Amino acid sequence: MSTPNPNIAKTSMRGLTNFISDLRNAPSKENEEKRVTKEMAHIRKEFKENKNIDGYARRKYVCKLIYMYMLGYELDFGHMEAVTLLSSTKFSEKQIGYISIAILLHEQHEMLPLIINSFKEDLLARNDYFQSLALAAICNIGGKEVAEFLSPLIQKLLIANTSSPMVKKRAALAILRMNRKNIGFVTPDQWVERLVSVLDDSDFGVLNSLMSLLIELASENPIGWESAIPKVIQLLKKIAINKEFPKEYTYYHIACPWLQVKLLKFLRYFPPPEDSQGGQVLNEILNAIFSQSESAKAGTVNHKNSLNAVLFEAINLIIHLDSDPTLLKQTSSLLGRFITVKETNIRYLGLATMSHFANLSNETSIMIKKYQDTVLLSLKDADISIRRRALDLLYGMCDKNTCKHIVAELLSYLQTADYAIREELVIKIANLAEKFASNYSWYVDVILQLITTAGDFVSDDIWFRVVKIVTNHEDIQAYAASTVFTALQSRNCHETLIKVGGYILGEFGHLIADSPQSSPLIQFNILHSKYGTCSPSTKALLLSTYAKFVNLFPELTQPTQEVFKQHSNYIDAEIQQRACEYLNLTSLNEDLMQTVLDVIPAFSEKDNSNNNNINSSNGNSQDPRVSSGSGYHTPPPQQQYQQPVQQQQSNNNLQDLLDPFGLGLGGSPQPAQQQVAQYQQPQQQIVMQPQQIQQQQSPQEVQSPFGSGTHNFSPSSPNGPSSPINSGGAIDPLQLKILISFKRLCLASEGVLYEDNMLQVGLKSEYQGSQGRLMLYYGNSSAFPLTNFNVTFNSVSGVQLQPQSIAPVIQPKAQIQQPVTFSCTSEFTETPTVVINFLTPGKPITIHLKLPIIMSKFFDPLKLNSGDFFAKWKTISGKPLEIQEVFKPTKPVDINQFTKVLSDGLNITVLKGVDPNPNNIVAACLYPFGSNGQPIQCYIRIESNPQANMCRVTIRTQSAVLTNTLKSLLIAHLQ
Amino acid sequence: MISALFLMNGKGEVLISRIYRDDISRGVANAFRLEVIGSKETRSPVKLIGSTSFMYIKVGGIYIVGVSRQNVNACMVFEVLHQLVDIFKSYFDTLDEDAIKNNFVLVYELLDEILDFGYPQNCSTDVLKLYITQGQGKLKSLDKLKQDKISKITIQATGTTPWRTPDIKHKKNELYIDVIESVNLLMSAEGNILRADVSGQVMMKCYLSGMPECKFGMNDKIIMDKEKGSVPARSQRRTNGIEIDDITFHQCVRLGKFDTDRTISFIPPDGEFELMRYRTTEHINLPFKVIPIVREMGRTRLECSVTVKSNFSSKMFGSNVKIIIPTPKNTAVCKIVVAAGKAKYMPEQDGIIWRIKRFPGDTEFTLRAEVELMASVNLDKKTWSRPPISMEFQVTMFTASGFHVRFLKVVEKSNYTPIKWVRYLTKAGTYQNRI
Repeated sequence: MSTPNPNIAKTSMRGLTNFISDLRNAPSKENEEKRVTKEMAHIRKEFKENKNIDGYARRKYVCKLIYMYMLGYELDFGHMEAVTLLSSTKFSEKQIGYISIAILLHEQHEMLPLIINSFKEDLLARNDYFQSLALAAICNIGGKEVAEFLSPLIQKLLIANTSSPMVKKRAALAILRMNRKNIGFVTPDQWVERLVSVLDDSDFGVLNSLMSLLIELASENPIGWESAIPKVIQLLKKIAINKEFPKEYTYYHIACPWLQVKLLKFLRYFPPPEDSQGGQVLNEILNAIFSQSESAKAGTVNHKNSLNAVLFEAINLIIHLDSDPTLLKQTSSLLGRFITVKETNIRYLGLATMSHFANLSNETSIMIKKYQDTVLLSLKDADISIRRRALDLLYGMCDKNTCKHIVAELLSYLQTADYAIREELVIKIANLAEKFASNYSWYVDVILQLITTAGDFVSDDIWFRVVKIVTNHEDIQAYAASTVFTALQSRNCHETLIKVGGYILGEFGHLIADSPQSSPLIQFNILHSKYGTCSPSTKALLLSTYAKFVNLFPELTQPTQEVFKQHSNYIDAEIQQRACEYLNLTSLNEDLMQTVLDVIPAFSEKDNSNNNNINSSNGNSQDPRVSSGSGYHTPPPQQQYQQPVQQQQSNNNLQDLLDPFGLGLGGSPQPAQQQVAQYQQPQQQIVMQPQQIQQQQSPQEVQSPFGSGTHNFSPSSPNGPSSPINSGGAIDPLQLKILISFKRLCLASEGVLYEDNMLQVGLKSEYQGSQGRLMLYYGNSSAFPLTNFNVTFNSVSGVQLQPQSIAPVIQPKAQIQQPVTFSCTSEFTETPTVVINFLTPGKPITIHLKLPIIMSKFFDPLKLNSGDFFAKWKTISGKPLEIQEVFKPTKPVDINQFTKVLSDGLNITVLKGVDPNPNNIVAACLYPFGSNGQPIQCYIRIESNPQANMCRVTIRTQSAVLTNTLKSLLIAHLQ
Repeated sequence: MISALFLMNGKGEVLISRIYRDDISRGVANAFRLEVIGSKETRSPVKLIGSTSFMYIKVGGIYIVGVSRQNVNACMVFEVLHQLVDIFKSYFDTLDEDAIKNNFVLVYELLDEILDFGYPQNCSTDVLKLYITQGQGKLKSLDKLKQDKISKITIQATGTTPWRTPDIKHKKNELYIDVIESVNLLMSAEGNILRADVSGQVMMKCYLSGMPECKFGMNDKIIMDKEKGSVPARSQRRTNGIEIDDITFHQCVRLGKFDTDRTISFIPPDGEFELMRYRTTEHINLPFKVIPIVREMGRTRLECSVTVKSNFSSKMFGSNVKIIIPTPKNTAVCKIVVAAGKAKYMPEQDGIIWRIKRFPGDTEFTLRAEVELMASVNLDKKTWSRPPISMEFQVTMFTASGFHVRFLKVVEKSNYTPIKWVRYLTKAGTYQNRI
């Protein structure tokens, strides 16, 4: 607004300036406060007493109020006065009015509806200044309501020929604001033509604002906005090649850098232009930008900054386009220059961009090979962010030839590296070593060195991976065993090393046992000398190693059994159980022992989980949509989607590897385990039952034919809350209790969900329509307070849980409650879970529980007579909408009991008199929230044969998901 | 023990830092600035940062901070800090930033004498003034006579009566006794006394020659009962002894003698000093009674009427009476009618201030006010907390506890008769009435 405005009278408000200078000169905070309260009182008096206060005074007082508000004082009046100013016809008063509401109100403020009308009036006014004021205020506080009422008007202002540039650019920003508050508000089909037509505007201010809007829209979803591309290229050409731009938009000799940056950035959301002409023009433009930068002499900081801003944006675009080899070459030399300059920011950007560049293709990574030394130097930079970027870049640059050199450099750097960067460094080294390993002995060496230098940062994934690789490659097993053995001999080795050592010696110790330096006894002694200082999980692992030793070296039976005996009363249940089992296993039956403790079979080659780790940690510092330089090709949802998958994989890994001798790995060891169990004490036999129950519970397992005994023992489902690490036959009575309470609560609305000697979790539930409400009661039954009490709810798709927060501490014998509301939006198969964490004086405790929120809780009754039922029954047939299943109940068939469970527990309407056979049940229910919004009707038939004690369920619904879930549910509860 | 003393201004800049022990560094002043002066939370007089305790008082915009890393007696530290304030005030009248800056050499000198290795040595102004003088360069020309004098000072300062030099001569032997009491009161809105106590002090100004031996008598109940027992005939008149809960004396009073036969005997220092401090909580004569009526009429109006009644004889009068009647924060306009004095709404104090210069005994005055409030934008704003009405006043020749001086005997070798004056004054401490 450089044009002089006749409406802005040069009115100084002396009272205001005096007041402000008073506050500025206040010698202390107290004096300032006093002055403010006095002024507030004065203004209150004026507003209250002086009914016909004139515009000038009102404006002055509102200004004072804003000033005090901005200093941080609470303001609970004066808003009405500000709104009154809006309706003034004087610019000065209106201006203050709009400024004040933009400062005092927010988009949810209850006074906002009052002023929408003033917005509207001013937008309709034929006065540019009034329109601008209103738009500026909308840019600040506009919300959903404003968008609803005023969007057509604002849109019209943006495209109308009559509105001045001043109004247009504000209108573009106002639309941007409304879109941000209300994602998806601007859709291409309605807007694209109009917005693109504005790109013809000659005013650069308008274009600048409009490009901000377009970038935002394209970043949400680029599809539909392609028609803007030719015009954007045209504009770029106009600026970069033809040099047609207004003088006032030159900033330190650079032509409108902001607009250029925005135009270039916009292009990056789209694939390279298909028509060769567009591509050619674009290449010309980029060439022009490059040549411009070369010819430019180094000027002031501002000049350099704006020059580099455009340049970097151009480089990013080149990387994105990946077409012209000469341009790429130029880029590489430019980047090479950037990473050597003194200024940190540019170096950072240079390194970051270079790592994108390196990832682009083979040629590009070869192009930058010559800068490798510079990058290695950057690893020692004083600024950690630079070091991170350098690390990323090195990771990207690495290939078969340079790998050994780079890994060696990184390993030597690891010793001096900052703690903040070590974890990342370790993952990257491990990854590179695996990716480019030419021989696996080198890989084993690298990882062992990693563990010795930075053991704390080596995550489980990494050593799992080593174990896997060693197991799968016979040629390195002996080498690995001897290396690990040597490493273990050092006095203080890291726990991770002990774990690796325990596993490898247990499996492959026999390969080096012939040498007198590493005889079985020495191996055992070395491992056992570290045993005392280990954590329980390592101890458990070592016990398994000892068991393996017994199998391999009979001479070790004596000392190992000694150890097992010592631990048969150990306080940790896991260790105790292992000790007992192994003791019996090694002393009772030689054949059985040999079968159980046989060499682990090779692991199936899943994809490398470490790799995924890297992907997720890569380039998180920037907008993920544009960071990778090829944002268009890998749309963001996919990236986000990858993460949970990877977690599941590593979860699986963890589960099969924490118990590497596994008893639960493939199909073959399993029967042996069952036999083992029979040798154990009665407690051990109880353990078997929960496993069966668990399999009935978990929906996936039920699908396998039941009772045939060939199902495997691996942890049931990756997210099943009742599948803790101790999968191999170690379900304790507590788990059994949890399962039973869960099953009971599936049928009832209140009861105890979980109970042990420290914590009791009770539950009450109510359901109304699609809404449900849970009240969870946490009772502390111990004698000490439970601190850091924290409950995490895991929603599943279809059910969204909204828990209220709770106090972090439960005093002894006290109870706290937590209401949880949730609503059901579609069918769901999984059960929401809850994780309870708390600290007892001894140790942290984590409890995983399933919440009894199942589909049947939302069932509505469905009354049908015989004719209707069969008419509808016949409309659905065939898989997957129909499922039939035969099962054998554990108790004798009781039709009345079934009816009760169905109608009371599962909210299913049992239809009387439909089926003449008294041993059959016909039932129906209505599930109100199908995925398409329609209620789903479900029809159920249960035929029973009391003589044979067999039942058959048939379920027909309009949804395969529902059919499946309903079947699992029925079988679980009727059995 | 005290490891260091810091004097800081309101911004936390160190004016004076004196470190007595080497278990702390100067840097701790920075910690204090950040954690105490810079923090917004409510301040407590003791702050523990790490294992260092900071005990501080704020006087005249200056923080006086005692720092210790040991389990020091906090009361002792605060006593030292308050004594320091008294000493500084007696040396350079006012205590503020400028005074400290202009006299920092003197302050360091004083700090050297007052504490040694963190242990308090000598806090008596009179003694300190003997050898720490404000005139610069005086000690330069030490002739023999002065050296004698200095050695005398040493003997005296370490002798039995370090607070008095033996060779004091006054033309007129005079003695002034001031009994100053401050009344603390908290009364409920219904007029029940929730808490009332009086803390008093007996100040003496003593201009006596030689080494006078004094004996002080007051109407303490225990003493009176004792005397009644021994001399029953004389005790007919004085039965109105008061119960004193707590009593502390100046160091000159012989505590052994007080413990055995409850007599207060002492050789006074020359000049002004505080002979004793006491506290009573029973049978307190409240000088003023406040009867408030405050009604909130809807969200935007408030009516109040406050009646103040004086409870002492009509011969006496209260002076500088000030009543602060709180009003809500969003007060817009106050219409006030008063029978006596002046009343005005003061937004800085969030209340109506009513001043009465002279309040005669046994009378009552009433204030009526209509307060208009500004409606607040946030409707869910919490209601007015109704803070109490507080009052300030002074009543001369009146003691709220009933304390009075019975006698003061002075015995001296030269056997002169001193002229004695007694004065009583009651002030308001925190004198509050809930509404």
